[in-house]
Amino acid sequence: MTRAQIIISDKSPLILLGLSTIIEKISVAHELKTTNSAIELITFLKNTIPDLIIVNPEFLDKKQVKLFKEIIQHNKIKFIFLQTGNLLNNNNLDYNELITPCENEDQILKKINTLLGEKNHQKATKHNDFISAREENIVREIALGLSNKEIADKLFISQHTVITHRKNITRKLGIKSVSGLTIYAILNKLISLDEVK
Amino acid sequence: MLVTKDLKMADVVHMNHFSLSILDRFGIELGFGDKTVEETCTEFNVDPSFFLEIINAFIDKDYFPKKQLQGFSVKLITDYLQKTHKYYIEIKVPEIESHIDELVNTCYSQKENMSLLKRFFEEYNTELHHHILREETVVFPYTQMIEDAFYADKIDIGIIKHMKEYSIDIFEKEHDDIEEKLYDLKNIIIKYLPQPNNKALCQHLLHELFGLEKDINDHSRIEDKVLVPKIRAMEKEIKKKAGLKS
Ligand SMILES: [Fe+2]
Ligand SMILES: [Fe+2]
Repeated sequence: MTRAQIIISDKSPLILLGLSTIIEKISVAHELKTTNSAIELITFLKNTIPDLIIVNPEFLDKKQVKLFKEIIQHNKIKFIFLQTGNLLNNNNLDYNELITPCENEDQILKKINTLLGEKNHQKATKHNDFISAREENIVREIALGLSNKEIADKLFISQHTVITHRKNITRKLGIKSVSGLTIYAILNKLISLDEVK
Repeated sequence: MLVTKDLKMADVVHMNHFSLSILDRFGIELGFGDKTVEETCTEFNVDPSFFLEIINAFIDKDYFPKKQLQGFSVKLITDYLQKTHKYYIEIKVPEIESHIDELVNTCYSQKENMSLLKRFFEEYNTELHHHILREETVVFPYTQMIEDAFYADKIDIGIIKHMKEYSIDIFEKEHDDIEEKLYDLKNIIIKYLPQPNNKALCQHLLHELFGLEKDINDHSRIEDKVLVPKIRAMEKEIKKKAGLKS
């Protein structure tokens, strides 16, 4: 499987370091390059076509912006505008997403995951995506050994709804038995090993 | 392609090597040279027509000669089912267990997860034992009793009493799906377990699980679709003979 190539560029080393730490957590196999030099960024782009660019273009000069624009349009590279300065996008650049320093980790990860997911579907293989958050909750309760009735009472839903959820969970995951679902829950960190009796 | 009595036994194995386990169950030993299916069966005291229906149903899951199989005696059918049980308990399950043990012992990337698999299979093994024990101590003796009564000249009153307490309908209801957990285990390994460092062993295990699941599927199908209807028809006949409304 090829890794997703990501490059981040900003003049602030602090921003670069912070963002790289967050990006390490994405669910897609990737290779990350960082640079705080505009020249290095352009040279890199001339030789390589990454899957995603996260750049604050404010530190590029006019000529570099023009070149940058051409490269990303020509190669259809996904581009996240890194808005670390005070200025808004005044370079007339089209971007796929915008990231600002006041965003939290989850928001940033979600944006990156979505963009890379569009680029390459099979890379997004985080299993939890298969079932909804509600269903995940129910898997957790099942794994803890609760009966349908107990789950219904705990989550304030009807037993009938619990049964429907269970059917959907089994269909989506391909796991029928309670002990099978328990292993799924442990593998996906929905519960810890100690919680299981 | 269906196996016929004139086909060479060696070609049957070439057609589907899983059939080796069936041959073994019938007590047929390798080294049959160019002998045909019929000749080999006769040599090992196996009813060739029964063997043919069993092997064909096993090889081709779309071929299921319900009517033909129901034509064989209960004894022949349950003998075969019992031999299959023996094969699971004495050969297949220990084989899979040792695969899992090896997997646990040689895994360094996710030892804990492997122990989970081991625990899961142990649980499965207990279930399988219970399932088989119930069939051998309750169900098969009952079906044999029914067959004997069916061919007897007079219906013993004890039989009728017994039939009131237990019947094949009860077995049909309580007969649970023993493949379920195997299906789960396969999916957990295929879909959710990160690939361990000893992946060749892991693939080998999967292969074994697929084989056992297929075999048990075939086995349960004979219980549900051949034995149950056959016994039900006999029960009806016995009640009629005893002058009871069914
Ligand atoms: Fe059985
Ligand atoms: Fe069974």
